[in-house]
Amino acid sequence: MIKKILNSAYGKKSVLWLKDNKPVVLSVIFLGIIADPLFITGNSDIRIFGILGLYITAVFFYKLKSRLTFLFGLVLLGIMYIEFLFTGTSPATEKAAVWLYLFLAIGIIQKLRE
Amino acid sequence: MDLGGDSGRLYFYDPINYLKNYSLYNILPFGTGLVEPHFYNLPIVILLIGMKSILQSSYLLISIFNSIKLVVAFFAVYGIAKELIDKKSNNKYFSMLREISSMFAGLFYIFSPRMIGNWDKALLSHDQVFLNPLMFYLVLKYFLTYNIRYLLVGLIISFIFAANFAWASAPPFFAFYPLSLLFILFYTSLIRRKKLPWKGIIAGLLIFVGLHSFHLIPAIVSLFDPGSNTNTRVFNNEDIAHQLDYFFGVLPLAKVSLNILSFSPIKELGWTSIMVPLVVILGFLLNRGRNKTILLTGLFFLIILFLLSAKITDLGIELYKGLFYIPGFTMFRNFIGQWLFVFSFFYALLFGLAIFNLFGKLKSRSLITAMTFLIGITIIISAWPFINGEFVNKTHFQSNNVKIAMVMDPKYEETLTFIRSLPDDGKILTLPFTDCCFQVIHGTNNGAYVGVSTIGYLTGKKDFAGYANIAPFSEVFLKLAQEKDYKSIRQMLGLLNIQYIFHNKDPRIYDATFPGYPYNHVRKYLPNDQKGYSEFVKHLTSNKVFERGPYSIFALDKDIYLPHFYIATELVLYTNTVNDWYGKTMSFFVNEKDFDIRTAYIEEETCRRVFPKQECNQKIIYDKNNLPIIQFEKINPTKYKVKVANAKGHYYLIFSEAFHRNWKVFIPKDESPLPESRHLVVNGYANAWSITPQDAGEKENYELIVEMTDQRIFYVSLALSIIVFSGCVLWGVILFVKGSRSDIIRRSND
Repeated sequence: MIKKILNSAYGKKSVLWLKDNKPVVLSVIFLGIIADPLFITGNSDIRIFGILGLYITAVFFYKLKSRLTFLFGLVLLGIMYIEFLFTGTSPATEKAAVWLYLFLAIGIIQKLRE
Repeated sequence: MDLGGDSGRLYFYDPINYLKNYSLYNILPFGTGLVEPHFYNLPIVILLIGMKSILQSSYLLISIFNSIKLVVAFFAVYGIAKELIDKKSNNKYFSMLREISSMFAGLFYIFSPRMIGNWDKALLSHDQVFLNPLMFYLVLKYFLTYNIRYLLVGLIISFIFAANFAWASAPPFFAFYPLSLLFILFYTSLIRRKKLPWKGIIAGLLIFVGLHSFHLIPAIVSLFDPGSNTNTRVFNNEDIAHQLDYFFGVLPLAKVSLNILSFSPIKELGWTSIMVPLVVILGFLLNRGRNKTILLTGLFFLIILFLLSAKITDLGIELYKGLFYIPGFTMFRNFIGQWLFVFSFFYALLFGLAIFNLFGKLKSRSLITAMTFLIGITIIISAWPFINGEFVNKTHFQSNNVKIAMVMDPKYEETLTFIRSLPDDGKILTLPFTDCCFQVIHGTNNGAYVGVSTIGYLTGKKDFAGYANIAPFSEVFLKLAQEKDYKSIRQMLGLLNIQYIFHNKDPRIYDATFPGYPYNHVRKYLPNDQKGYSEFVKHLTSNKVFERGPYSIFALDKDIYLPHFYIATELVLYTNTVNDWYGKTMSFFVNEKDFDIRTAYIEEETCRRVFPKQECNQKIIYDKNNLPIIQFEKINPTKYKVKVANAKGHYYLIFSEAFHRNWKVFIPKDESPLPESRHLVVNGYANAWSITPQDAGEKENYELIVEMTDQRIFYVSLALSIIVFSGCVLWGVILFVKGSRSDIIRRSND
């Protein structure tokens, strides 16, 4: 089914567009991740695993290296740290910490596969 | 000296008496004498006896013990990190970096904020601070070198610190060892590509079981003993729901961010909390080679972070909840406390490995020097309140600025000596009474001991120091005290075999100094100050037998006192209407106080189990005047000799010690004890045996042995442990001599 969609003219066009716009796609994913602890209140596993699923797909699609994941982790550490200094162990700090945890896990698994 | 809290650390103060009264027997030396095997601290207490005889000071003993913990923990983590860091790049520069990184791992382990906060009142289980890395190091070295000496040293250390490998230490043991062994297995076989020494592993496990049989076998027997505390805790199906409630109670306290950030106890240094996670992520980022050790350590770090935090997404919480259905996992209901040490250990290793990666990529030596200085200073300054002793010189909870470090009052030591000289029979009521089972003793400085009662542990005389100790008479006692019904209180003390009252009338341990804990609840019923307590004691007895400073001992009148063993004059039936262990005796005691002093009270349910149905329909089951005379002698806390004279008929022997089905009565020349069907619970807690003339072969004068048979299991398993330990020592000596000889031959060849 997925193969059929990808082989269709519309599918091929979409794949091409995604390949051409790698920075845009990754920026959107990453903005989604940053927005979660900074601007969105409340926890949602659907949101977390949805965005994480997109990132994992991007890892396979763009053949991303673990280095990028760890870099993302570094940014998330920065967000967690700043949130912690200003708000203590607030929900936002905790959310950033969970994102950091997930990115570290993905990064380590990626590195083991490289 | 800091002698601890809830469970006490009296083994540092008087290890000899602690050994005699607590470590050698499975009967608790306080209250009604519940049965609970706790032999695991035997080797360490013997070691402490040796150390105390040399040092003569508890303060020095505690300080040396703490120093050993810190130094060994540092060196073990340093050794592990040095072993794990990649050795391929074997030039001088990288060797120096390896040294620095390993030292940082060790330093971070002992000074990390999670590890420095719990050194006051530290129990034996806190020894995991150094035992965890030390055992890890020895096993790792054995797996890598196949040198049997590492295995042997590890086994002997495990024997000395058996308390950390016992059933009582199951949560920290199972939190650390399975995951650590898995790590070592992966590291040895996948990264170092070494064959696993399976024969050595199996032999090691067998020796381990042999060495630890002195506490493991009694604990296993207790586990399968229906009704024992351990049995109820492990096999009760309803328990999982309660444990999950506990888990959800702790959950809001778990913080993923706090665990990742290394937050200093010094508020002004809060900004440095990013240093360790930053170094770790940079270490991953700069790990460009094929170094998989840091990745494996990282994976284990994340697994433990999940187990420590539990709050990795809602799905993670659900998964964690599911883990509680694995048999035994409920021991981790207080997951924050249980996984903390393991987490700190793997975090320290990861930190060391990451620093090595980071420094390895830096070209400038001056930058490395500056960073080394900065990181080192940050770690040390962050732990300054621990280093300068502030963290172990705390104030007692809810006290009026009373410190936990105390200098023992010599007058109290004289009091303990006097208590030891009292006759074997007769327990003690310790006043002021506390909520649980504690005793407060003020030192000659502004410090006090607030912990388990010293009288039971250090003199062998069982005492009742608090509400929990005096169960099942707890509610009765408070009610009678509130009603000022002194006559009934005296009668109740008699039923509990209490002959003495110890009153510490020091106002510094009650009145305004300790307005809350540990007296919160009982204060509502008992006198509110020491003056009131003196009045309270006066109403119970005026026979003072000892006084030194604020410490007084009073003897109760003989007419209301019931000895440890007595023959019941009548057996009175009652229906249990209070479904609560602390208030159970309310069902008979307060209302039935006009019966004869030697009356034994039997619950209707017990009666129906033991007696014919029609007998349980009358109030008084057994009433006799022609009773035998008995004399008894305590051989040890688990064995008594009872001489019976003039026994012409059937009688009931009452033993005022907590009921346990393995308290058995033996009639000499008869190897098997009296059948369990004649053993019953009376007075809400005590043992009673129905003895007929046929049991003694129609003799009128004879001797009985009353024995806790579980203690025999300990003697057999102890013998096994001693044999295995001696074998290990002998094996060690042979290896040492062989090693020295081959060294000499090698040197002479060189």
